[in-house]
Amino acid sequence: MTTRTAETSPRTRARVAGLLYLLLVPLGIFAILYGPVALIVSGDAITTANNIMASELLFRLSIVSALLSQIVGIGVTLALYQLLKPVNRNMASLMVIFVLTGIPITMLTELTHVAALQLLSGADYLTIFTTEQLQALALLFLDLHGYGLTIAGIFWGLWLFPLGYLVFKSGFLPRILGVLLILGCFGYLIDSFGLFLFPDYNLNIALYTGWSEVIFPLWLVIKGVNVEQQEKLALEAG
Amino acid sequence: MTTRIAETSPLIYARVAGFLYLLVVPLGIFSLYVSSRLIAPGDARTTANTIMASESLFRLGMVSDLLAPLVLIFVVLFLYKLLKPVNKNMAWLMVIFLLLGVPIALLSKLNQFAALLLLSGADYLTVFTTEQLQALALLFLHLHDRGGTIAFIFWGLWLFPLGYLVFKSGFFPRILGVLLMISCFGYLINSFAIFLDYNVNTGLFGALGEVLFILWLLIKGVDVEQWKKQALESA
Repeated sequence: MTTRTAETSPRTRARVAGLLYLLLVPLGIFAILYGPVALIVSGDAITTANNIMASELLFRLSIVSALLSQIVGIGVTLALYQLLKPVNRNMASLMVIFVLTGIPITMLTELTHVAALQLLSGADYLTIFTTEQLQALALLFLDLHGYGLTIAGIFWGLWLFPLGYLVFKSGFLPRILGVLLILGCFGYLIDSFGLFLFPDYNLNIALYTGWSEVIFPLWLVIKGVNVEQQEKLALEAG
Repeated sequence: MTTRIAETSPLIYARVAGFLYLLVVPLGIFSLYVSSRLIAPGDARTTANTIMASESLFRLGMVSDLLAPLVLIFVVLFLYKLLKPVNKNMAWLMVIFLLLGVPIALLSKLNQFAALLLLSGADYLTVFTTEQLQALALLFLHLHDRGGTIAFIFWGLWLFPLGYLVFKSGFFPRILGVLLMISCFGYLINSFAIFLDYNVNTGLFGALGEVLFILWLLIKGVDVEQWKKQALESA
Protein backbone atom coordinates (compact mmCIF):
# COMPACT_ATOMS: atom_id res chain seq x y z
CA MET A 1 0.00 0.00 0.00
CA THR A 2 2.73 2.47 0.93
CA THR A 3 4.54 1.91 -2.35
CA ARG A 4 1.35 2.48 -4.28
CA THR A 5 0.82 5.81 -2.52
CA ALA A 6 4.37 6.86 -3.18
CA GLU A 7 3.85 6.13 -6.84
CA THR A 8 0.75 8.32 -7.22
CA SER A 9 2.12 11.00 -9.48
CA PRO A 10 2.00 14.56 -8.20
CA ARG A 11 0.38 15.46 -11.52
CA THR A 12 -2.55 13.14 -10.76
CA ARG A 13 -2.82 14.58 -7.27
CA ALA A 14 -2.90 18.09 -8.67
CA ARG A 15 -5.59 17.10 -11.20
CA VAL A 16 -7.75 15.44 -8.53
CA ALA A 17 -7.42 18.42 -6.21
CA GLY A 18 -8.14 20.83 -9.06
CA LEU A 19 -11.18 18.94 -10.33
CA LEU A 20 -12.71 18.60 -6.87
CA TYR A 21 -12.00 22.27 -6.23
CA LEU A 22 -13.71 23.23 -9.49
CA LEU A 23 -16.70 21.13 -8.47
CA LEU A 24 -17.05 23.48 -5.51
CA VAL A 25 -17.63 26.44 -7.79
CA PRO A 26 -21.05 25.36 -9.14
CA LEU A 27 -22.05 23.90 -5.76
CA GLY A 28 -21.05 27.09 -3.99
CA ILE A 29 -22.66 29.35 -6.56
CA PHE A 30 -25.86 27.35 -6.40
CA ALA A 31 -25.92 27.13 -2.61
CA ILE A 32 -24.76 30.58 -1.66
CA LEU A 33 -25.47 32.82 -4.60
CA TYR A 34 -28.13 31.53 -6.94
CA GLY A 35 -30.49 29.76 -4.56
CA PRO A 36 -30.74 32.44 -1.91
CA VAL A 37 -29.92 35.51 -4.01
CA ALA A 38 -32.46 34.70 -6.70
CA LEU A 39 -35.22 34.07 -4.18
CA ILE A 40 -34.57 36.44 -1.32
CA VAL A 41 -35.57 40.07 -1.63
CA SER A 42 -33.85 41.94 1.15
CA GLY A 43 -36.30 43.52 3.57
CA ASP A 44 -39.36 42.25 1.65
CA ALA A 45 -40.80 39.33 3.59
CA ILE A 46 -43.88 38.81 1.41
CA THR A 47 -42.11 38.64 -1.96
CA THR A 48 -39.38 36.47 -0.48
CA ALA A 49 -41.90 34.06 1.00
CA ASN A 50 -43.79 33.81 -2.27
CA ASN A 51 -40.58 33.26 -4.24
CA ILE A 52 -39.40 30.51 -1.95
CA MET A 53 -42.69 28.67 -1.88
CA ALA A 54 -42.97 28.94 -5.67
CA SER A 55 -39.54 27.30 -6.06
CA GLU A 56 -39.41 25.13 -3.00
CA LEU A 57 -37.41 22.41 -4.76
CA LEU A 58 -34.77 24.93 -5.85
CA PHE A 59 -34.52 26.13 -2.29
CA ARG A 60 -34.18 22.58 -0.96
CA LEU A 61 -31.52 21.84 -3.57
CA SER A 62 -29.57 24.86 -2.35
CA ILE A 63 -29.58 23.34 1.14
CA VAL A 64 -28.34 20.03 -0.24
CA SER A 65 -25.62 21.63 -2.34
CA ALA A 66 -24.43 23.69 0.62
CA LEU A 67 -24.07 20.47 2.63
CA LEU A 68 -22.44 18.59 -0.26
CA SER A 69 -19.98 21.39 -0.96
CA GLN A 70 -18.58 20.96 2.53
CA ILE A 71 -17.96 17.26 2.02
CA VAL A 72 -16.30 17.90 -1.32
CA GLY A 73 -14.26 20.58 0.46
CA ILE A 74 -12.81 17.93 2.77
CA GLY A 75 -11.64 16.01 -0.31
CA VAL A 76 -10.09 19.14 -1.85
CA THR A 77 -8.15 19.97 1.28
CA LEU A 78 -6.85 16.45 1.80
CA ALA A 79 -5.74 16.23 -1.84
CA LEU A 80 -3.99 19.61 -1.52
CA TYR A 81 -2.41 18.45 1.73
CA GLN A 82 -0.85 15.47 -0.02
CA LEU A 83 0.42 17.71 -2.80
CA LEU A 84 1.83 20.48 -0.62
CA LYS A 85 2.97 18.56 2.46
CA PRO A 86 6.55 18.32 1.14
CA VAL A 87 6.83 22.13 1.14
CA ASN A 88 6.08 22.58 4.81
CA ARG A 89 4.24 19.98 6.81
CA ASN A 90 3.12 22.32 9.61
CA MET A 91 1.64 24.87 7.23
CA ALA A 92 -0.13 22.07 5.36
CA SER A 93 -1.67 20.82 8.62
CA LEU A 94 -2.73 24.37 9.51
CA MET A 95 -4.51 24.59 6.17
CA VAL A 96 -6.44 21.37 6.87
CA ILE A 97 -7.34 22.49 10.40
CA PHE A 98 -8.76 25.83 9.19
CA VAL A 99 -10.94 24.12 6.60
CA LEU A 100 -12.20 21.49 9.00
CA THR A 101 -13.09 24.07 11.64
CA GLY A 102 -15.31 25.97 9.22
CA ILE A 103 -17.25 22.92 8.06
CA PRO A 104 -19.55 22.31 11.05
CA ILE A 105 -20.29 26.05 11.18
CA THR A 106 -21.33 26.14 7.55
CA MET A 107 -23.39 22.98 7.77
CA LEU A 108 -25.21 23.90 10.94
CA THR A 109 -26.04 27.28 9.42
CA GLU A 110 -28.28 25.46 6.94
CA LEU A 111 -30.70 24.91 9.81
CA THR A 112 -31.78 28.53 9.38
CA HIS A 113 -32.96 27.64 5.87
CA VAL A 114 -34.82 24.65 7.29
CA ALA A 115 -36.48 27.03 9.77
CA ALA A 116 -37.56 29.41 7.00
CA LEU A 117 -39.04 26.53 5.01
CA GLN A 118 -40.91 25.23 8.02
CA LEU A 119 -42.30 28.68 8.85
CA LEU A 120 -43.58 29.06 5.29
CA SER A 121 -44.79 25.46 5.03
CA GLY A 122 -48.34 26.27 6.10
CA ALA A 123 -48.14 23.65 8.86
CA ASP A 124 -51.30 23.61 10.98
CA TYR A 125 -49.58 24.24 14.26
CA LEU A 126 -48.17 27.54 12.97
CA THR A 127 -51.54 29.03 11.97
CA ILE A 128 -51.66 30.61 15.40
CA PHE A 129 -49.45 33.26 13.81
CA THR A 130 -50.65 35.47 10.98
CA THR A 131 -49.18 34.88 7.52
CA GLU A 132 -47.35 38.20 7.76
CA GLN A 133 -45.78 37.22 11.08
CA LEU A 134 -44.63 33.87 9.69
CA GLN A 135 -43.16 35.56 6.63
CA ALA A 136 -41.34 38.07 8.82
CA LEU A 137 -39.92 35.30 10.99
CA ALA A 138 -38.85 33.43 7.85
CA LEU A 139 -36.96 36.50 6.62
CA LEU A 140 -35.32 36.80 10.05
CA PHE A 141 -33.98 33.25 9.72
CA LEU A 142 -32.86 33.91 6.14
CA ASP A 143 -30.91 36.93 7.38
CA LEU A 144 -29.38 34.79 10.12
CA HIS A 145 -28.27 32.40 7.39
CA GLY A 146 -26.25 35.22 5.88
CA TYR A 147 -24.58 35.93 9.21
CA GLY A 148 -23.91 32.23 9.78
CA LEU A 149 -22.09 32.09 6.46
CA THR A 150 -20.23 35.27 7.39
CA ILE A 151 -18.91 33.50 10.48
CA ALA A 152 -17.98 30.49 8.36
CA GLY A 153 -16.39 32.95 5.89
CA ILE A 154 -13.68 33.62 8.47
CA PHE A 155 -12.44 30.08 7.89
CA TRP A 156 -13.04 30.10 4.14
CA GLY A 157 -10.59 32.99 4.23
CA LEU A 158 -8.13 31.72 6.83
CA TRP A 159 -7.24 28.45 5.07
CA LEU A 160 -6.21 30.37 1.96
CA PHE A 161 -3.30 31.91 3.85
CA PRO A 162 -1.36 28.69 4.49
CA LEU A 163 -2.45 27.48 1.04
CA GLY A 164 -1.14 30.64 -0.63
CA TYR A 165 2.06 30.49 1.41
CA LEU A 166 2.66 26.87 0.40
CA VAL A 167 1.99 27.62 -3.27
CA PHE A 168 4.32 30.63 -3.11
CA LYS A 169 7.14 28.67 -1.49
CA SER A 170 6.62 25.46 -3.44
CA GLY A 171 8.68 26.13 -6.53
CA PHE A 172 6.37 23.84 -8.47
CA LEU A 173 3.50 26.30 -8.83
CA PRO A 174 3.69 29.95 -10.00
CA ARG A 175 4.37 32.37 -7.17
CA ILE A 176 1.73 34.79 -8.35
CA LEU A 177 -0.95 32.17 -7.60
CA GLY A 178 0.25 32.10 -4.02
CA VAL A 179 -0.02 35.87 -3.78
CA LEU A 180 -3.54 35.83 -5.23
CA LEU A 181 -4.65 33.17 -2.76
CA ILE A 182 -3.30 35.17 0.18
CA LEU A 183 -5.22 38.18 -1.12
CA GLY A 184 -8.26 35.89 -1.21
CA CYS A 185 -7.72 35.20 2.48
CA PHE A 186 -7.84 38.88 3.36
CA GLY A 187 -10.81 39.45 1.06
CA TYR A 188 -12.95 37.02 3.02
CA LEU A 189 -11.66 38.22 6.39
CA ILE A 190 -12.31 41.89 5.65
CA ASP A 191 -15.78 41.08 4.35
CA SER A 192 -16.66 39.01 7.40
CA PHE A 193 -15.50 41.49 9.98
CA GLY A 194 -16.83 44.41 7.94
CA LEU A 195 -20.27 42.86 8.01
CA PHE A 196 -20.13 42.30 11.75
CA LEU A 197 -19.03 45.87 12.45
CA PHE A 198 -20.96 47.94 9.94
CA PRO A 199 -24.64 47.31 9.24
CA ASP A 200 -24.40 48.89 5.77
CA TYR A 201 -21.24 47.09 4.73
CA ASN A 202 -21.44 46.15 1.08
CA LEU A 203 -17.90 46.20 -0.26
CA ASN A 204 -17.94 42.49 -1.14
CA ILE A 205 -14.20 42.34 -1.67
CA ALA A 206 -14.37 38.55 -1.93
CA LEU A 207 -16.23 38.96 -5.20
CA TYR A 208 -12.93 40.21 -6.68
CA THR A 209 -10.31 38.40 -4.63
CA GLY A 210 -12.37 35.20 -4.90
CA TRP A 211 -11.23 34.79 -8.53
CA SER A 212 -8.01 33.31 -7.21
CA GLU A 213 -10.14 30.31 -6.21
CA VAL A 214 -11.16 29.82 -9.82
CA ILE A 215 -7.73 30.50 -11.34
CA PHE A 216 -5.86 28.22 -8.93
CA PRO A 217 -7.93 25.05 -9.53
CA LEU A 218 -7.93 25.77 -13.29
CA TRP A 219 -4.14 25.95 -13.16
CA LEU A 220 -4.02 22.65 -11.28
CA VAL A 221 -6.22 20.95 -13.87
CA ILE A 222 -4.74 22.47 -17.03
CA LYS A 223 -1.08 23.00 -16.19
CA GLY A 224 -0.70 20.73 -13.18
CA VAL A 225 2.55 21.06 -11.26
CA ASN A 226 6.23 21.03 -12.10
CA VAL A 227 6.63 17.32 -11.41
CA GLU A 228 10.40 17.26 -11.13
CA GLN A 229 10.44 20.02 -8.55
CA GLN A 230 7.59 18.46 -6.53
CA GLU A 231 9.29 15.07 -6.44
CA LYS A 232 12.60 16.60 -5.43
CA LEU A 233 10.93 18.31 -2.48
CA ALA A 234 9.01 15.16 -1.56
CA LEU A 235 12.27 13.19 -1.47
CA GLU A 236 13.95 15.84 0.68
CA ALA A 237 11.03 15.93 3.07
CA GLY A 238 11.09 12.14 3.27
CA MET B 1 7.55 3.48 25.96
CA THR B 2 7.56 1.91 22.51
CA THR B 3 7.92 -1.54 23.98
CA ARG B 4 4.97 -0.97 26.25
CA ILE B 5 2.80 0.10 23.31
CA ALA B 6 3.97 -2.86 21.30
CA GLU B 7 2.83 -5.08 24.10
CA THR B 8 -0.72 -3.72 24.30
CA SER B 9 -2.72 -6.47 22.74
CA PRO B 10 -4.96 -5.49 19.81
CA LEU B 11 -7.61 -7.53 21.57
CA ILE B 12 -7.75 -4.87 24.26
CA TYR B 13 -8.28 -2.10 21.68
CA ALA B 14 -11.00 -4.19 20.04
CA ARG B 15 -12.78 -4.97 23.31
CA VAL B 16 -12.65 -1.39 24.60
CA ALA B 17 -13.80 0.01 21.25
CA GLY B 18 -16.57 -2.59 21.09
CA PHE B 19 -17.69 -1.94 24.65
CA LEU B 20 -17.80 1.85 24.21
CA TYR B 21 -19.51 1.51 20.85
CA LEU B 22 -22.08 -0.74 22.47
CA LEU B 23 -22.80 2.02 25.02
CA VAL B 24 -23.85 4.32 22.19
CA VAL B 25 -26.69 1.97 21.21
CA PRO B 26 -28.81 2.29 24.40
CA LEU B 27 -28.02 6.02 24.57
CA GLY B 28 -29.37 6.45 21.04
CA ILE B 29 -32.38 4.23 21.62
CA PHE B 30 -33.22 6.03 24.85
CA SER B 31 -33.26 9.47 23.25
CA LEU B 32 -35.36 8.10 20.36
CA TYR B 33 -37.76 6.67 22.91
CA VAL B 34 -37.98 9.97 24.77
CA SER B 35 -38.69 11.92 21.57
CA SER B 36 -41.32 9.48 20.44
CA ARG B 37 -43.04 9.58 23.83
CA LEU B 38 -42.95 13.32 24.36
CA ILE B 39 -43.24 14.82 20.92
CA ALA B 40 -46.52 14.65 19.03
CA PRO B 41 -45.64 15.67 15.47
CA GLY B 42 -47.68 18.62 14.30
CA ASP B 43 -49.49 18.98 17.62
CA ALA B 44 -47.94 21.87 19.52
CA ARG B 45 -50.24 21.83 22.52
CA THR B 46 -49.99 18.12 23.30
CA THR B 47 -46.22 18.23 22.81
CA ALA B 48 -45.87 21.20 25.13
CA ASN B 49 -48.03 19.61 27.82
CA THR B 50 -46.26 16.23 27.71
CA ILE B 51 -42.82 17.79 27.79
CA MET B 52 -43.62 20.04 30.72
CA ALA B 53 -45.27 17.16 32.59
CA SER B 54 -42.13 15.03 32.18
CA GLU B 55 -39.43 17.65 31.99
CA SER B 56 -36.84 15.50 33.74
CA LEU B 57 -37.38 12.67 31.23
CA PHE B 58 -36.93 15.21 28.42
CA ARG B 59 -33.70 16.47 30.00
CA LEU B 60 -32.44 12.91 30.46
CA GLY B 61 -33.07 12.31 26.77
CA MET B 62 -31.03 15.42 26.00
CA VAL B 63 -28.18 14.27 28.20
CA SER B 64 -28.02 10.84 26.62
CA ASP B 65 -28.00 12.49 23.21
CA LEU B 66 -25.13 14.73 24.33
CA LEU B 67 -23.19 11.80 25.74
CA ALA B 68 -23.37 9.59 22.65
CA PRO B 69 -21.09 11.76 20.45
CA LEU B 70 -18.62 12.11 23.31
CA VAL B 71 -18.42 8.34 23.69
CA LEU B 72 -18.02 8.02 19.91
CA ILE B 73 -14.85 10.16 20.08
CA PHE B 74 -13.24 7.46 22.20
CA VAL B 75 -14.63 4.68 20.01
CA VAL B 76 -13.00 6.18 16.94
CA LEU B 77 -9.70 6.77 18.73
CA PHE B 78 -9.48 3.13 19.79
CA LEU B 79 -10.49 2.00 16.30
CA TYR B 80 -7.75 4.29 14.95
CA LYS B 81 -5.19 2.46 17.11
CA LEU B 82 -6.53 -0.84 15.89
CA LEU B 83 -6.76 -0.02 12.17
CA LYS B 84 -3.85 2.39 11.63
CA PRO B 85 -1.54 -0.45 10.50
CA VAL B 86 -3.87 -1.16 7.57
CA ASN B 87 -3.73 2.32 6.04
CA LYS B 88 -2.82 5.37 8.02
CA ASN B 89 -4.45 7.93 5.69
CA MET B 90 -7.77 6.10 5.69
CA ALA B 91 -7.61 5.77 9.46
CA TRP B 92 -7.14 9.54 9.72
CA LEU B 93 -10.05 10.18 7.37
CA MET B 94 -12.23 8.04 9.63
CA VAL B 95 -11.27 10.14 12.67
CA ILE B 96 -11.82 13.42 10.81
CA PHE B 97 -15.30 12.46 9.59
CA LEU B 98 -16.41 11.39 13.02
CA LEU B 99 -15.04 14.49 14.75
CA LEU B 100 -16.85 16.79 12.30
CA GLY B 101 -20.17 15.32 13.35
CA VAL B 102 -19.60 16.04 17.04
CA PRO B 103 -19.92 19.87 17.12
CA ILE B 104 -22.95 19.70 14.82
CA ALA B 105 -24.74 17.16 16.99
CA LEU B 106 -23.92 19.00 20.20
CA LEU B 107 -24.75 22.53 19.05
CA SER B 108 -27.98 21.31 17.55
CA LYS B 109 -29.10 20.57 21.13
CA LEU B 110 -29.43 24.32 21.55
CA ASN B 111 -32.76 24.01 19.72
CA GLN B 112 -34.09 21.76 22.46
CA PHE B 113 -33.03 24.28 25.08
CA ALA B 114 -34.87 26.95 23.09
CA ALA B 115 -38.01 24.80 23.20
CA LEU B 116 -37.64 24.30 26.96
CA LEU B 117 -37.14 28.03 27.54
CA LEU B 118 -40.18 28.90 25.44
CA LEU B 119 -42.29 26.50 27.49
CA SER B 120 -40.76 27.51 30.81
CA GLY B 121 -43.43 30.11 31.56
CA ALA B 122 -40.78 32.76 32.16
CA ASP B 123 -42.26 36.19 32.78
CA TYR B 124 -40.49 37.93 29.92
CA LEU B 125 -42.16 35.59 27.43
CA THR B 126 -45.72 36.31 28.56
CA VAL B 127 -46.01 38.97 25.86
CA PHE B 128 -46.73 36.00 23.57
CA THR B 129 -49.84 33.89 23.96
CA THR B 130 -49.42 30.35 25.27
CA GLU B 131 -50.39 28.97 21.85
CA GLN B 132 -47.73 31.05 20.13
CA LEU B 133 -45.05 29.91 22.56
CA GLN B 134 -46.08 26.29 22.06
CA ALA B 135 -45.95 26.65 18.28
CA LEU B 136 -42.47 28.21 18.47
CA ALA B 137 -41.33 25.39 20.76
CA LEU B 138 -42.48 22.81 18.20
CA LEU B 139 -40.63 24.75 15.49
CA PHE B 140 -37.39 24.51 17.47
CA LEU B 141 -37.96 20.81 18.12
CA HIS B 142 -38.27 20.38 14.35
CA LEU B 143 -34.98 22.26 13.91
CA HIS B 144 -33.36 19.99 16.48
CA ASP B 145 -34.49 17.03 14.46
CA ARG B 146 -32.98 18.41 11.27
CA GLY B 147 -29.77 19.30 13.09
CA GLY B 148 -29.53 15.62 13.92
CA THR B 149 -30.08 14.84 10.24
CA ILE B 150 -27.06 17.02 9.35
CA ALA B 151 -24.94 15.29 12.00
CA PHE B 152 -26.00 11.93 10.55
CA ILE B 153 -24.18 12.82 7.33
CA PHE B 154 -21.00 12.35 9.34
CA TRP B 155 -22.31 9.44 11.39
CA GLY B 156 -22.61 7.84 7.95
CA LEU B 157 -19.41 9.13 6.32
CA TRP B 158 -16.97 7.82 8.93
CA LEU B 159 -18.28 4.30 8.32
CA PHE B 160 -16.85 4.32 4.79
CA PRO B 161 -13.17 4.49 5.76
CA LEU B 162 -13.98 2.21 8.70
CA GLY B 163 -15.57 -0.36 6.38
CA TYR B 164 -12.72 -0.03 3.90
CA LEU B 165 -10.14 -0.63 6.63
CA VAL B 166 -12.05 -3.60 8.04
CA PHE B 167 -12.35 -5.03 4.52
CA LYS B 168 -8.63 -4.64 3.79
CA SER B 169 -7.41 -5.57 7.25
CA GLY B 170 -7.19 -9.33 7.02
CA PHE B 171 -7.95 -9.49 10.74
CA PHE B 172 -11.70 -8.94 10.38
CA PRO B 173 -14.14 -10.81 8.14
CA ARG B 174 -14.46 -8.93 4.84
CA ILE B 175 -18.25 -9.05 4.93
CA LEU B 176 -18.27 -6.75 7.97
CA GLY B 177 -16.37 -4.19 5.94
CA VAL B 178 -18.90 -4.41 3.13
CA LEU B 179 -21.81 -4.04 5.54
CA LEU B 180 -20.22 -0.98 7.14
CA MET B 181 -19.73 0.67 3.76
CA ILE B 182 -23.37 -0.06 2.95
CA SER B 183 -24.25 1.55 6.29
CA CYS B 184 -22.42 4.66 5.19
CA PHE B 185 -24.60 5.03 2.11
CA GLY B 186 -27.72 4.08 4.05
CA TYR B 187 -27.25 7.01 6.41
CA LEU B 188 -26.10 9.42 3.69
CA ILE B 189 -29.05 8.72 1.40
CA ASN B 190 -31.39 8.97 4.35
CA SER B 191 -30.07 12.40 5.38
CA PHE B 192 -30.04 13.96 1.93
CA ALA B 193 -33.48 12.54 1.10
CA ILE B 194 -34.93 14.20 4.20
CA PHE B 195 -33.68 17.59 3.04
CA LEU B 196 -35.36 17.00 -0.31
CA ASP B 197 -38.54 16.10 1.57
CA TYR B 198 -38.48 12.36 0.86
CA ASN B 199 -38.59 9.70 3.53
CA VAL B 200 -36.64 6.66 2.35
CA ASN B 201 -35.74 5.08 5.70
CA THR B 202 -32.46 3.65 4.47
CA GLY B 203 -30.99 4.36 7.89
CA LEU B 204 -32.06 0.91 9.01
CA PHE B 205 -29.39 -0.68 6.81
CA GLY B 206 -26.95 1.53 8.65
CA ALA B 207 -27.82 0.15 12.01
CA LEU B 208 -27.39 -3.47 10.85
CA GLY B 209 -23.73 -3.15 9.83
CA GLU B 210 -22.88 -1.22 12.97
CA VAL B 211 -24.53 -3.68 15.36
CA LEU B 212 -22.86 -6.70 13.75
CA PHE B 213 -19.49 -4.96 13.87
CA ILE B 214 -19.92 -4.12 17.56
CA LEU B 215 -20.86 -7.70 18.38
CA TRP B 216 -17.87 -9.02 16.44
CA LEU B 217 -15.50 -6.67 18.30
CA LEU B 218 -16.88 -7.83 21.64
CA ILE B 219 -17.25 -11.54 21.01
CA LYS B 220 -14.53 -12.43 18.52
CA GLY B 221 -12.20 -9.44 18.77
CA VAL B 222 -9.52 -9.53 16.08
CA ASP B 223 -7.21 -12.12 14.54
CA VAL B 224 -4.18 -11.24 16.68
CA GLU B 225 -1.60 -13.00 14.49
CA GLN B 226 -2.73 -11.15 11.39
CA TRP B 227 -2.83 -7.84 13.27
CA LYS B 228 0.75 -8.25 14.52
CA LYS B 229 1.92 -9.10 11.02
CA GLN B 230 0.27 -5.94 9.64
CA ALA B 231 1.61 -3.79 12.46
CA LEU B 232 5.17 -4.99 11.85
CA GLU B 233 4.91 -4.37 8.11
CA SER B 234 3.58 -0.83 8.49
CA ALA B 235 6.02 0.13 11.24
